[in-house]
Amino acid sequence: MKKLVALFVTLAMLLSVAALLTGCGGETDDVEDPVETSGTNVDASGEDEIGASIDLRSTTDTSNPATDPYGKYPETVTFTTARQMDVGANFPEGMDVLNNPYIDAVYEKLNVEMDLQWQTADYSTKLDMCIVGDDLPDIFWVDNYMTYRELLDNDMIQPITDAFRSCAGEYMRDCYATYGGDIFEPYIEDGELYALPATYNGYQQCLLWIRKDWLDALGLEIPTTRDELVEVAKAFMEKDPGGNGAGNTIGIAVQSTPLGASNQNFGLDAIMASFGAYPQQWIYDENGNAVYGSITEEAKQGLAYLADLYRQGIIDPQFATRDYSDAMGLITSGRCGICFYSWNLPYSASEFLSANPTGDWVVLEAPVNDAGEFTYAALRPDNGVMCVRKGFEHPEILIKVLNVEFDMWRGIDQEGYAAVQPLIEAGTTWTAPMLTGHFNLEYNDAVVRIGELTANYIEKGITPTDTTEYNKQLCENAKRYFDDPSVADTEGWICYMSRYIASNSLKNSVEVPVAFHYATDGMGLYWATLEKLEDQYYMEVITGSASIDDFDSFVSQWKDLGGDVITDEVQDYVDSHNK
Amino acid sequence: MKNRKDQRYYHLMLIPGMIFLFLFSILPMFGIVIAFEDFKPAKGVFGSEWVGLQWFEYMFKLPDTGQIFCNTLIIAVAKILLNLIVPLIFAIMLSEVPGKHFRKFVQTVTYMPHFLSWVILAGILTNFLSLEGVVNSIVELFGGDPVQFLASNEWFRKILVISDTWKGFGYSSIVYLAAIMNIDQQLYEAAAIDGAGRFKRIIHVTLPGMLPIIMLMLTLSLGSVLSANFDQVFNLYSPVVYKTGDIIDTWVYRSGLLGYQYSLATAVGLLKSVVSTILIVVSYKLADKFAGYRIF
Repeated sequence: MKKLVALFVTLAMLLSVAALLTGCGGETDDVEDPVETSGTNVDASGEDEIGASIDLRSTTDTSNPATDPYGKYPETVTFTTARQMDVGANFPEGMDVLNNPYIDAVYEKLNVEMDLQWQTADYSTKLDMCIVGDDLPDIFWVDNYMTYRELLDNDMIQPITDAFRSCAGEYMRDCYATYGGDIFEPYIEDGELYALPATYNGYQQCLLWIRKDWLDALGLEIPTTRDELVEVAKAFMEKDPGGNGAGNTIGIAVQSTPLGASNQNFGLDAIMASFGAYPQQWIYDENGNAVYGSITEEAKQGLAYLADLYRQGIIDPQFATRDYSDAMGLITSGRCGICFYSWNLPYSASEFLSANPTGDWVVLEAPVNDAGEFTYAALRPDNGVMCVRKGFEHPEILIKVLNVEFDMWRGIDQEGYAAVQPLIEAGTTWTAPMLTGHFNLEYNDAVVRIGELTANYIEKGITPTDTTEYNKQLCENAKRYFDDPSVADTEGWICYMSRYIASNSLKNSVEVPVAFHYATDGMGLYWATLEKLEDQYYMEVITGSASIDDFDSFVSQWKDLGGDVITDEVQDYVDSHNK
Repeated sequence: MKNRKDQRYYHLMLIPGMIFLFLFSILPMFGIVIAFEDFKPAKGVFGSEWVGLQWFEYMFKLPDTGQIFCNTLIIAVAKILLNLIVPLIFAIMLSEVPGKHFRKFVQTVTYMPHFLSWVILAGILTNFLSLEGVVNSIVELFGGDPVQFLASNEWFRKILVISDTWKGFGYSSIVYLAAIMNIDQQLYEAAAIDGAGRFKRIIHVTLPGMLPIIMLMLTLSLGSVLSANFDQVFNLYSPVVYKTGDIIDTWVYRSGLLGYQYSLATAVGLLKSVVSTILIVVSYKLADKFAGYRIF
């Protein structure tokens, strides 16, 4: 039996290496090819492809399970953990959080068992309770940066540098390499890595989505600048190409919190960015110092422009009381033909096609700034971290479990991928069965990679071979719609619009570096007040009940109420973390 | 003596409830010490730094503390008054209506909104009050200009108070209906013989008969004078109406829970409780003095 398992593990490893050699699921045609940087050895010890400020090169030694990415422990090792409850996870019959192919594989391959101590919908509060009671699980998820700092400052978590170096598998290393090291910096302290960040892949910035059938019906040009966009919006509202009745077409669909992040769907950040303004982001000023994006001179200009758009009725007059689903309703019902949204709009707007069978969209990197560039503020590369409790003897288990799980889920381990099929068929929330909960491991440029696959397939007829079944299916769906849009199948439309059209419209965006995505001590105390001041002033200016002339007094008030203190803290962080 | 023995069992039956009360209401009270600390979970309740009244000072130094307290008071007091008067009038009117089945029907219909959560009601209200909604259609029918009720500082509080009253008046009227049922029918007959009409009977028989309950309800509701209903406000407000709609609870939510400021949130909660306790004691004394009514 043991021999059989060993054989299985070896086979899985060979397969995973083979998959990497052929281009890691065929998605690596562009940018740095991991095969070239890491060589053909499993333990690549030459160049540090991760690019962090500390040495994270591989130190794999397969003679000891503790330093072997897939090494099996001679005796069963149990680790305790906790998780955010997945409500409505849709497990297939006979499977649940404690009983599924991932649990089985981790046990069979690593001889590791999970002891789930608790799961709750209110994870952060419960975790804080555990911190108070000094009752932390061995391996646990932290999504609040201040909680991480607190754990660190009070010596409650241990460094995982060695565990990462010896046990990070090829897929994990390749994924992190696409983030260029930035993803690790906030979690490096005194030359040690203290937490493993969960990747939040890039290319999620909002693009300009415009109804192409409406543009064509009115004979309008595709807009590139904000003023051209306004002309298009005006034409849509006045000439009503959608047949909504006079005065019923909305210019731009916007939701009640329109600013704050470049991936804020139904937002207006893209228009602000065309002025060089990045509200609510800590950007760099011309001297390289951190500055809060909502108080810059550019923000003032952008805000004045938005107020003007609102006054003209181009921004949805009711946006202040529209939530996300209200704004989405305007799009799917065909009442509005312009919005800002990430590449994946069709996934959430699947009802659109049945309501507007001939509806078609153009996806643009617009509006551009005076230099002709479409810019966006860099997004936070992680959305939380896994920590290991101080005193737990096997910190490498975190890394090894992730190796096994993601090899299965990404189809690097073919047998593992076959084993998780029942979950995929049942439509289970993909993170629900995983031992590591919501932790994601994905290439930073995954969206673009798949976009290229679909483009190659549709335009050049290159069949995607060395990739996951899932990706192949995406290509097939997109091509089906491309070949015959009149069939109007929703799956095809979703893949065509998002994976082909939108994913290939992301290439010229210029990323503006962000100095700081996290939280400081002072924010705990002052942030609610500052946030309220800002939200209230910005909304009042846009809706016309406050004047843009008060912007300077808003700025000085912001600084006095704690903004200056926080700016200093952010600057300290920047000074101490910049290589 | 026999009586005492009986009571022993009643006391025994009280024990589970008392234990429950002790565990979940009395014991956690010691947690209020974190209002005087700079509480950090990692350091625990006993290890965190003692900061005295820092959080209370901080609270009063904030530029919008005045605004938040005013909003809370105005909204809460308006709700207390309307939630007293509307169900009262409704109960009296309903009791005067002949026909048992009709009464039951009206009662059931008016109960219903009480059982809907604010999350759902907020969605319905947002829809009704939007520019294309029912209310604005009526406004336009009479030649008015449509109003964005939920984005208007002039209307927001009114919407809060009216919708809260609408949601609760059916349910609150149960107590008053019960009180009316308890009034001796002979009093009505005597009044009728003395020539009192329906209106006079309400003024001189029904209302005095209900006075203890009215005082009780008023006294109890005074405790919530600093609670303007988080669920409702949170689901309806937006930054545009912070000026008139931001209340203590929503502010604590934003600063305390989203920002993980446990100490600050506890300090605000403690302050609210202290004020409420004082108000309850005072109103109880007043009720005793002017209406001769005692709960205990």
